[in-house]
Amino acid sequence: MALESPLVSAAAISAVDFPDLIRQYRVTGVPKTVVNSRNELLGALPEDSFIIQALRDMKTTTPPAS
Amino acid sequence: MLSAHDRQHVATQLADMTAPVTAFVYTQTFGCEPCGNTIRLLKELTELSPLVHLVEHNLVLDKDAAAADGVERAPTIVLSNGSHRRVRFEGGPFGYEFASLLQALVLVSTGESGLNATSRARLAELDEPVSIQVFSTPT
Repeated sequence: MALESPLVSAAAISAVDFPDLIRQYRVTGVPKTVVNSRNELLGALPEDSFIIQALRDMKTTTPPAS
Repeated sequence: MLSAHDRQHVATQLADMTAPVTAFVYTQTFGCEPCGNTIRLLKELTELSPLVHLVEHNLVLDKDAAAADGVERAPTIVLSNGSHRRVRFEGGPFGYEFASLLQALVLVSTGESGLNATSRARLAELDEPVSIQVFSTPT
């Protein structure tokens, strides 16, 4: 995703090294994905589901279909 | 750190790289148990591909570089293909994380995300910065 959009940055975080982050983001299982500190995705998801959930309330250049 | 067998496997994977990637690694001398092995592992990668370059920063001493890269923790590895620095690894890149690091080196090098057209279209419509953090464990 970070390769496709200049607006996206991605960090792979080794949870065992940062107990403070585990607490902050309430990581109880892995993989856990946190997007803009608000959207949380648990587990490994298929590509389409992952993108939809990760970007679910992000601003876009086109209004969402009503 | 890698066995002869692993080195061969890694070299084969990194052979898919098509352009240089620089790994900017931030470590600190004290209070960072995985830092030493992280540097050692990255140095081995530079021996296994002529396209992998390594730049070492001290998180405490190189404040300006750390601030520019938005790095707050050690070890952090910021991958750059020269035009962007949007992919990073925080913590020791061992176990499954090592496999992800190898994959990321190839992706950043080639610029090919492998995402489908629908995904790319969604990403093209983004109108705000998106920061993705993926937590995982080495095993």
